This record gives sequence, structure tokens and C-alpha cells, in this order.
Amino acid sequence: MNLISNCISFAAQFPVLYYMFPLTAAISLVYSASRFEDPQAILKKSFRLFMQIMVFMLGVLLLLYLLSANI
Amino acid sequence: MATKNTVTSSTNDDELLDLKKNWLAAVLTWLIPGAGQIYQGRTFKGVLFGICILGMFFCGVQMGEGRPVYCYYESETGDRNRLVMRHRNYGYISQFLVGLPSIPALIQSKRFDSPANTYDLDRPIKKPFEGVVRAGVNGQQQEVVGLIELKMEPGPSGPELTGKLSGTLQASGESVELELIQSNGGEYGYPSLGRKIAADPQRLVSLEIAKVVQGPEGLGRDIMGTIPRPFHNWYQVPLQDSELQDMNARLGKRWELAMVFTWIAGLLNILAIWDAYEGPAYGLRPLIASAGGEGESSGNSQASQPSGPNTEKQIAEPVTTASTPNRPEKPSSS
Repeated sequence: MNLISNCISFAAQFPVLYYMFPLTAAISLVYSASRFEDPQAILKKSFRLFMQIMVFMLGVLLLLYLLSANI
Repeated sequence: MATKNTVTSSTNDDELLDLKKNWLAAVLTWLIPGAGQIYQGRTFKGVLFGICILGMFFCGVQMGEGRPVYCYYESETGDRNRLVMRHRNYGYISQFLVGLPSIPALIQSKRFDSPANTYDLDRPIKKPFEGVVRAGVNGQQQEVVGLIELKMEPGPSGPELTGKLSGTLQASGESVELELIQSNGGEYGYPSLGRKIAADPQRLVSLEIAKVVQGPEGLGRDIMGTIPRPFHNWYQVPLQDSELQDMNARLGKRWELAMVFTWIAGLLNILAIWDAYEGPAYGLRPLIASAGGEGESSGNSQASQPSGPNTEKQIAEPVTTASTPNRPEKPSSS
């Protein structure tokens, strides 16, 4: 229990944005697992979905950065 | 007639994946994410759902210091009227989908509203105390930690709280022993003792000093601090406005994120429940095999037809081809 608490406390030091990685990974895994039965297909598809979401988020981040930049 | 829900395996055409009693599996998955899949023998998916959904839920609970799951919160309008307004926490609808881990919130809301949830003590207690000794409203404060004994004793206007504090002054290191009596509460506006059941792991204690048995003269007029509240008396208990404001002030975005984690965990469990009931969306062909081995439709006549060459190909290549007509078309992107 202390180990879990220490891990959470350690994770609490990270910026809020970093939480999107485990969040996206869990969403990708559960979504893919509800689509396919084969473990390999689940892992393959979830990795692909994870990357798609990350690229999309990065795109949005870039767009917001450009919009907020005084060019 | 007893029936069994089965689907053909995506990896082996001859192997049938037994969904067993799919309604039971769905209920089990709602109660404990992944339990239904494990009951169906789909251990990998069961463990995956369990780790992802429960992990996300409890991560959110831990981030929110155990308090993001609650049915409603209370706010008071005005100090004079003390009209308590109850506000529903609509996020709980989503949290409820996680099943058993969110059920305590329902029980705790009943306990919170019960007449037994008073500002009194059921029995004498002895707990660690952390707080301050105060010389008055604006007077000097000295931090004190120690052990406090509290009990209810008959007084002129009913039972009154009394106690004894044995502790140490943090600044000077001096030992103190104080006899305590119930304060009127009017001067500071606090009750002598916090509610028995509330959403804070710490229970408020505010008592007047009746006698300084040991310690410096003129130590103070009263003590104010907290004692630990038992886990079952604060976990998933409805929040009060002050507690909610405290969480927002202290945790900020992390409080919001904690609730988002628990909400998403609940929403993801819908997919897991569906998977337990219907099987995976793609690559498999649902069948209901009767006890006598005769194929029957599971609400779709297409499902009971024997597998033709095309169907076999579809089953053999579940990831890259479209599924049978009773299944949604596989997205072209995948």
C-alpha cells in the first residue's frame, strides 16, 4: 500500500499533461479489446490507436501554439 | 430450452468461444470490470479490462485523496437560515458504471443522512490529536500534538463532551496535560466535535481548557485541531461545500483530472460489459448453439446459417476483412 502511495506521490510531481499518456493507453487498450478477441490483434490495434490519438493531440497542440504565438 | 452463447474463435475456425450465460457475464463485468470475461474463460481480456478500468478508477480516487466519488454535495445558503441545498453530482452516473468500487457512495449517502450521524460520540475514544492551543480569537497560538481522550458526560443541559489531552508543545517541547470541556462554539462558530460521518479523513475537535494539569501557566483558552476519522466514516461520503472548495483550492486541476479518470473508467466499462454480453465487435461470428447441437439465431437469423466459404475466410482473417452481415462493417481505416 505504501509502495502504491509512493508511486502516486511520485506521479503527482509530473505536469498534468503527462497524465494523458496512461489515460490514452488505457482507453486504446480497452477500446481495442472490445473490438477484437486475439491478444495480438488487440495489442497491435491499441498501439495504432494510441499513436493516432497522440498524433492528433500533438497536431492540436501545435495548432494552439501557432494561434497563440504573436507572429 | 437451455441455450449457450458461443462465437467462433478468430484464430481457429473449429474452436468455439463459449460466452456461457452472457447476461451473467455482463453483470459480473459491471460489478468487477473484467470478471465476466474471466468467467467466460477469456482471461487475457478479463485481466486487461480489470487492470485498465480499475487501475484508472483507483488512480483517480488516489489523486483526489479518496474523495472524487460521491453522490451529491451539500451547500449552505446564509449563516442565519442554514438552509442546506443538495446538489447532485451527475458525474456519479458515470462512476456508478464501474460497479462495486462505486457502490459505497450510495451506502455512505444513506449513512450521511441518517439520524445516527451526529456531532456526538457513541463511546469514549482515545486518538492522536494535532492542533493548536489558542489564547483567544486573535491570541497567540501554539502547535500541540499528543493523545486526546474524549467522552460524553451528563451536563446541566444534556450530555456534554469532555476530554483530556496529553501532548507536547511543538515550539518549546514542553509536555502539557489539559482537562477539556465542551465550548459553546459561538465565539468561533465551530461545533465542539465534527460530524461522525463526513468526507474528511480528519474530524474537527474544538474544546475549552478547563484546567491545565501540567504545562505553562496561562497557556491558552481553548484547543482546536483534528483527530483521524475511521476510513469507513469518510470514504465516498457526500461532500460539503467547504470540503469541495478545499479540494479545488488545494488540488486545482488535479482534482478535476481525478474525477475525469473515474468518469472515463466508468464509460470504458460500458465497452467491457458489451463485450461480455455480445463478444468482440469484429472478426467473430455470433452463434447460439442449442443443447442438441442445432444452430439457432441469437436474435438474428443470419447468425445461425452454416459457415460458407466466404464466412470462413472472414473468420480466418478477422482483422483485415469485413464481418458477417449481422455485424457492423469494419472501418476501412483499420
